[in-house]
Amino acid sequence: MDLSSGFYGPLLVERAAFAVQNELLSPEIKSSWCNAAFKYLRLLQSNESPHLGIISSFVDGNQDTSVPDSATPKLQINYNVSRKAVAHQYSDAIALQEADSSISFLEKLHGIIKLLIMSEKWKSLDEMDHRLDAYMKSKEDYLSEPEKHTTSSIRILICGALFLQGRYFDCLKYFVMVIQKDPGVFDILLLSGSEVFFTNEEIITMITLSVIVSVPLDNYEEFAQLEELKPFFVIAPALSNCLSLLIDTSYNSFLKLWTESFGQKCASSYFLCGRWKEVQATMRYKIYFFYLRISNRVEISYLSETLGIDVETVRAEINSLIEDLTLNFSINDQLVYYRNRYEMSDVVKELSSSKVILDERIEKLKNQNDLVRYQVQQSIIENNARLRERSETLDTCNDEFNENLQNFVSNSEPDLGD
Amino acid sequence: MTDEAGYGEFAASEDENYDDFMASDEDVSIEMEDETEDEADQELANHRDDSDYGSDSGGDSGRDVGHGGEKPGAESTAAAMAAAALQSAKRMVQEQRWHEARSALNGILQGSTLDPDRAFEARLQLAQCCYLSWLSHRECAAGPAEQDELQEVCDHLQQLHTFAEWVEPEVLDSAVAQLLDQFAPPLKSKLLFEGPAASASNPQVSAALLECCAPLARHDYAQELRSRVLQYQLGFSDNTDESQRRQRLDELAAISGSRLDSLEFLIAMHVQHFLANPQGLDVPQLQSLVTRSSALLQKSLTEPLRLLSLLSFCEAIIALNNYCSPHDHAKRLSECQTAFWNCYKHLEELGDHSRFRDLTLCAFILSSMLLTGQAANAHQAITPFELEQIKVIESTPLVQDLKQIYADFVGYNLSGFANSLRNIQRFHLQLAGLIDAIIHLLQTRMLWNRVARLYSCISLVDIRAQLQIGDCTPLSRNDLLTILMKSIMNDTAQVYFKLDLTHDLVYFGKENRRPLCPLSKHLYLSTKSDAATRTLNTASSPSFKEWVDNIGVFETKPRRLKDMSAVQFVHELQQSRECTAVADSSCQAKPLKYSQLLQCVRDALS
Repeated sequence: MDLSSGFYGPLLVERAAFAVQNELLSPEIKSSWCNAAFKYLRLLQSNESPHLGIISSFVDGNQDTSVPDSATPKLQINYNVSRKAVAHQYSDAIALQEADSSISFLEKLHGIIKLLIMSEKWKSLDEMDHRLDAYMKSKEDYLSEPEKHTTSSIRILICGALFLQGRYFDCLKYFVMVIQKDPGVFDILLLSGSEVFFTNEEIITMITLSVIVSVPLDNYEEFAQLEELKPFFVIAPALSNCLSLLIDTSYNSFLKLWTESFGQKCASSYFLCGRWKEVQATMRYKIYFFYLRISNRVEISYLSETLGIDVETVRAEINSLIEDLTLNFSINDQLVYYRNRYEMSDVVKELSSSKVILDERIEKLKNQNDLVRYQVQQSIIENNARLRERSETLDTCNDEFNENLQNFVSNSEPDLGD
Repeated sequence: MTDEAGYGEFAASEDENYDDFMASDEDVSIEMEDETEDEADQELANHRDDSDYGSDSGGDSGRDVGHGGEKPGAESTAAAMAAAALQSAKRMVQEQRWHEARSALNGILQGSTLDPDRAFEARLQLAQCCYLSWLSHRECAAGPAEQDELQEVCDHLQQLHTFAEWVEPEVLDSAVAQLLDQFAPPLKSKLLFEGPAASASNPQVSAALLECCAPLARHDYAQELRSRVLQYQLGFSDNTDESQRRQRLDELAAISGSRLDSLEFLIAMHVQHFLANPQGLDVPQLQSLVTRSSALLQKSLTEPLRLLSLLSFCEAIIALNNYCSPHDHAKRLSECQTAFWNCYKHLEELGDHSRFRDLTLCAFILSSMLLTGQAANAHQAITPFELEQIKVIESTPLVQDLKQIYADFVGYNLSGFANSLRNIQRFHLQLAGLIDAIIHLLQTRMLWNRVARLYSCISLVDIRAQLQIGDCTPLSRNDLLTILMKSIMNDTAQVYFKLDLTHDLVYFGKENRRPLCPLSKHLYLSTKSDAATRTLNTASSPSFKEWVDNIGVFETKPRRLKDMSAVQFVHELQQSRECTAVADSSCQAKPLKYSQLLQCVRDALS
C-alpha cells in the first residue's frame, strides 16, 4: 500500500486509527494517514470520533491550522452523514443517507452499503442486495455507463462484505455471479478509483482466500480450468501459484508460499486482519483432514515434518479436529490411528460396563435390603424383647398396680382405670 | 536443388512474373545441364535480375539492339552502340566468358560519351562479373589472384557509389536489391534444412561485400542490408556469446517487419537453437514471430512448405513448453499432438527425410500415446500406427522402434520399455518433457492395473521397485505418494486404498473403505448447535457449518466438475454443501444408535 492510497471519508479515520495500533505499518504511513484523517475531521468540525485522541497524538506539529474551506460540494452532500459516521453513530448516519434525496438511488445504495460494512450490520446488507436486484429489474438492465460502474462497485462491496462475515463460499459464489452478469468488473479491479473503500489489492486477496478456503481439495484442478476466471488468474497470480501447488499436493510449499504472499498483506490491512488467522487455520485443518482421509495410521511428528508445522500445533489441532468433528480416530501419544468411535464390540463393552454398574447397583440394593431386613428383624427382635420387657415391667407394674389398686380399692371407691 | 530454388523464389516473388520465371527456370536448367547447380542458381538470379532491371529503367537500356536503335539523333546512335556493347558484354557474362566480358565492359567504361546511367550499369555488370568469376574459381584454388578479384569487386562497388547521385533512385534501389541477392541471398530456413553448406558463397566474403554495398543502400534497402548482415552473422558465427546472439536476434526481429523471408530465418534460428538446447527456448519471442508469420501467410496465396512445417513445429514446442502449467493440461497436449502431426505432413510433402522429420514423427507418436493413455476410453482410440501416412513407412527402423515402445507401453513391459526408449535416445534432449510424461503415465498405469490389483498390502519401497523403469531416475517416495494422493483427488484411483504412514504400507481393496465420521452431517450439526446453545456460545455457531463445509468433512464422494461454466461449478459445490448426505453405512448406524441408547442409559443411571 502506498502512502496516498486514495482513502477518504469516514473509513480514512478508521484506517488511520487501525494503522496507529499496527506494528507492521511504517511510521510514514501512520503519520501520513493520521494527518489526512485529522484534516478530514477538522473539515467536518467533528470532535466526536472515538479515535480522535490516538489520531491527534500522531499528527505532525506543523499542520496548517487554518480552517479548510468546507464548501466543497462533495463534502456538503455527505457532511451530516459523515459526521455521524465518524462518531460511530451508524444508525443515524444510515437514516440520514436514506433520507438524502439529492443523490441517485444507486449512489445512495452505495453510501448505505459502505456504512453497513463499517458498522458490521450484515443482516441489513443482504436486504440491500435484494434492493439492488429489484432496482436492476425495474430498469430492465438499461443503465448508463456511470450507473453500470456504480452497480459493479456496489457488487464488489457486497462480495467483500461476504468475506468479512466469514462466508467464504458465498463470497466466491457472489463473485462468480458478478463476473457472469458484468465482465467489466475486471476493469474495475485494475483501475484505482478516486475514493477507495476496499483497495483492489484487498478485494483480490479476499476473493483469492475465499477460493482457496472454500473450493474442495478435490476440485482445485477443475476450478483452475474455468474459462470465465482466466482474467482473474491474470490479475491474481498468487492464486494461480497456490492452486498449482495444491493440485500437486505440495502442501508444505503451499503453506509456505501462502504465508509469504498473504501473511503480511493481511496483517497490515484494516479489513483482512480479522479473517486471516481463521482462514489459515481452516486451510491447515483441510490438509490434516485429507491426510486422515488417505491414511489409517500416521504420526504427529511425520505430519509436522511433511507439512512444516510445529509439532505442538499439529498435536493440538489434530486433537481438536478429531474431537470437534467426532471423527473415527484416536490419538495415542505420537500415533494418530483409525478407531471406530461406535463399534459393536464397544457396544458390548459398554453393555457389560453398564451391567457391572447395574450389578453394583443391585448388589448395593441387595445389601441395603439385607441391611433393612436385618434392621427390621433386629428391631422386631428388639421390639419383642422390649415388649417382653415391657410386659414384664407391666406385669410388675400390674402387680404393683394391683397391689395398689387393691390398696386403693380397699381405701376408696375405684372410678378410673390404667 | 532446383526445386529448392524454386521454392525460395516462389516465396519472394509476389509479382505476376511467376509464370515467366518458372519457364525461364526450366530453360536454364535445360540449357546448362553441364554446369554445377550452384552456378545455375547464380545464373538464374542474374538472368532474372536483368529482366527486372530492363523493365525498371525503361526502353533506353533495353536488351535488344533494335529497340535502342530506334531512337533518333547522333547521340542516340552512340548510345545505341554503347547499349549494344553492353548487351554483348552481358551475354558474355552469361556464358561465363569472364575475361572477355571484363575487357568489353572496361572498354565501354572508357568510352568518353558515356551517359551516367549506362556507365552505372556497366560498372554494376563489371562488379557482378568479377564476383561471379571469383565464385567459379573459388573451388579450384584460393590463391592471392582470387583475393585480388574480390578486391576488384569492392573497388567497382566504390566506383559505383560515385554515380549514385546521377542515376534514378529506382535504378539504384533495384541495383542494390540485385547485389544483395547475389552476394548474400536470404537464408530463410536453408541452414536448418540443408546445413551450413546451404550458402553458395563464403559467409565472411558475403559480409565484406555487404559492407561495400552499404553506402549505396537507402531507406528500406539499408534495412534489408542490415537484415542480411545480421542473418549471416547469426547463421554462421558459432562462437558468439549468448548475450550478443540475443541482441542480434532482437534487432533482426525488430527490423524484420513484414519480410517473410527474414521472419522465416528467425524462426528457423529459434528451432535450431531449440534442437541444440531445448531449455533455452525464448517462448514469448517465438510466439510473436509465429503469430506475425501466420498473419502474413494468410494474406499470401503461396504455401511455402518449409515455413508451414516450421510454424507447426513451433506451435507444438510452445504448447509443450506450457504443458507444465496447471491450466488446460489435456488441451495443451492435444494442441501439441495436432501441431506435430501437421508439421510431419508438411515435411513429408517436402520430401524431407532429415533428422528433423524423425524428431517430429517421434514427438507425434509419443504425444498420441500420452493422449490415448490419459483418456478414459483408451480402448476405442486408434493407435497412431494405423494412420495411412505412417503405414507407408512402417518398415523403417524408426517406426519399428516406435512400435516397440508402444508395444512395451501397452504390455506393461517396464524393462523392455526402458530398452526401446534407448533406441530413440537421440531425441531425448528435445523431447524430455514428453518422455518424462510418458514414463510417469506408464508408472501410474502399472500401479493401478498391475500392483494394486495383485496386492492387498504392499510397502511403498516395494511399489517403487516394481515401478522402476530400467535405469531411469527412480521414483522417489514423495513422487509415489503424490501419484497416490492425486489419484484420490482426481478420483482416478482404480482401487480403493489406505496408507499406513507409520510403516509406509499401502492397503489396497474396498474393504478398507470406512467412514471417517460416525455422524451424518445433519445429525452432527444439530448436536453441535444444541451444544452451542447450551453453552450460550452463539457467536461461533453460524460459521460452524461454513467451517465444516470448507474442510469438507462430510463430502462422502468427490464430485467431478469437468468442463463446466463457472456458474455451474459453484452451483454444484453449493449442492454438495447443502445436501445432508445420509451416513452411508448401515453397519455404522446400528452401533451408533446402540451407543446413543447406552449413553441415555448411562445418563439415567448416573
